[in-house]
Amino acid sequence: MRLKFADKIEAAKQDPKKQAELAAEMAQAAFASMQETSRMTTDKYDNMLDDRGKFKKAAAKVGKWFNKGGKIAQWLKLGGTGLVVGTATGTFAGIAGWPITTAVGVVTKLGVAGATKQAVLEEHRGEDRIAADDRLETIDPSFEKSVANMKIGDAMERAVNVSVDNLKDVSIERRDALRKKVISSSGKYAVGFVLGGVVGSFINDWWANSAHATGPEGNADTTPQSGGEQTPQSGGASSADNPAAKAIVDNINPDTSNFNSYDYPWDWAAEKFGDANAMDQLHNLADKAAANGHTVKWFNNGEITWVEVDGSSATEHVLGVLSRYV
Amino acid sequence: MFEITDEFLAQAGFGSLPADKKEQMREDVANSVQDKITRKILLAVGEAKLDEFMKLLDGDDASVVLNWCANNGVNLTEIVQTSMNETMVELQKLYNDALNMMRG
Repeated sequence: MRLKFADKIEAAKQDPKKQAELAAEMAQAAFASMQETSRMTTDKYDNMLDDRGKFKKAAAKVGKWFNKGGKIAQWLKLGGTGLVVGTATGTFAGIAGWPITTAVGVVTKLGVAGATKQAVLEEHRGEDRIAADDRLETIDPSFEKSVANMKIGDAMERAVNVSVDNLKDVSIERRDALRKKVISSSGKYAVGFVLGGVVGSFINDWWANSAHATGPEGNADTTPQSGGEQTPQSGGASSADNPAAKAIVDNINPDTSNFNSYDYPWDWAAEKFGDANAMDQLHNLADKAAANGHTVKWFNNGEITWVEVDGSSATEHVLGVLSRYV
Repeated sequence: MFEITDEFLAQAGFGSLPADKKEQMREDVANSVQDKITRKILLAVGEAKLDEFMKLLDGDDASVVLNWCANNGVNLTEIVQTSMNETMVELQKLYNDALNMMRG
């Protein structure tokens, strides 16, 4: 199955349109994950500040105010008539080269009109931008090592905790700068995790729902697990594509679990590697087993996917073989 | 408040997304932008004037808030535009990373 999936990726490589579509959906999934990470970081940060800062309260107020359609429309109207902003002239030279009015569709027509009149930005504002090397490793040099042996979820939690520790006892300006660093850094790791693992499930969905996935070959890799024989479908890309995930996975020592306790190999893999990486790792281990002389076959009956090793798909047997290659 | 347009998403590389994913993306991007804007506003306001600013937010007169910002060096238009720019750059980078990953 791994090879079939690789073939699909390869097929996309031959078609720029498919490539772009796939990339867009992968990036969308990654961004959604980053947003979740950001929310997690923000929540943690805000909780920490409950008894010591005003930021959370102020942010909530600003958010509430900013979300009032009438308010923002009024702002845009006022801005457009020059009551607020007096610098709305000149040539826009933003980084991405697009005016705000092409990017933000304000709900009210009045707002659009106001925004149009003040679509200006200096190119180099950037006083609060994040330096390229501002990463969690910089904030905490031990971060990279400390997450090497963690599951992804724990690593993300660690990232948040590192950030929170470093956000203590600093001014609001400093906190804000650090917070952005943390979110940026967390985002970096989230991207790694997503592109190496979570996106695997997305890719499968994409292929399953795409017109590009035709016939049994297309369905073979994509059918979601609905119980039954074995492995729930949740991944496609190998963690080998993701250095961060690979480092984590590579540092997990083999366990001595009783495989009888698992209904399916996926359950064991999920426990060991995390849900997001479970299927990837099963494929990875199966590939290693095959490379070492075992006969590995993947099956899909249209509803579930399962693996057979040396003629047996019994969970205990499969895990007994695959676990040797962790 | 505002919504991210199709044009913005297309320029960032997400024009080909299916409708449901595009809507999710639109929502995620809008939240990301708003978060950026909020933080920039508070950073610009500064701790010393935060209480004063918060009292204005409690009121119901947007023009008071807006004029206070204008008189206190808080350029809301620029903050919004900068936030949008940063988001565009982030998204384009993300898209390109994904594309490069596919290309191996």
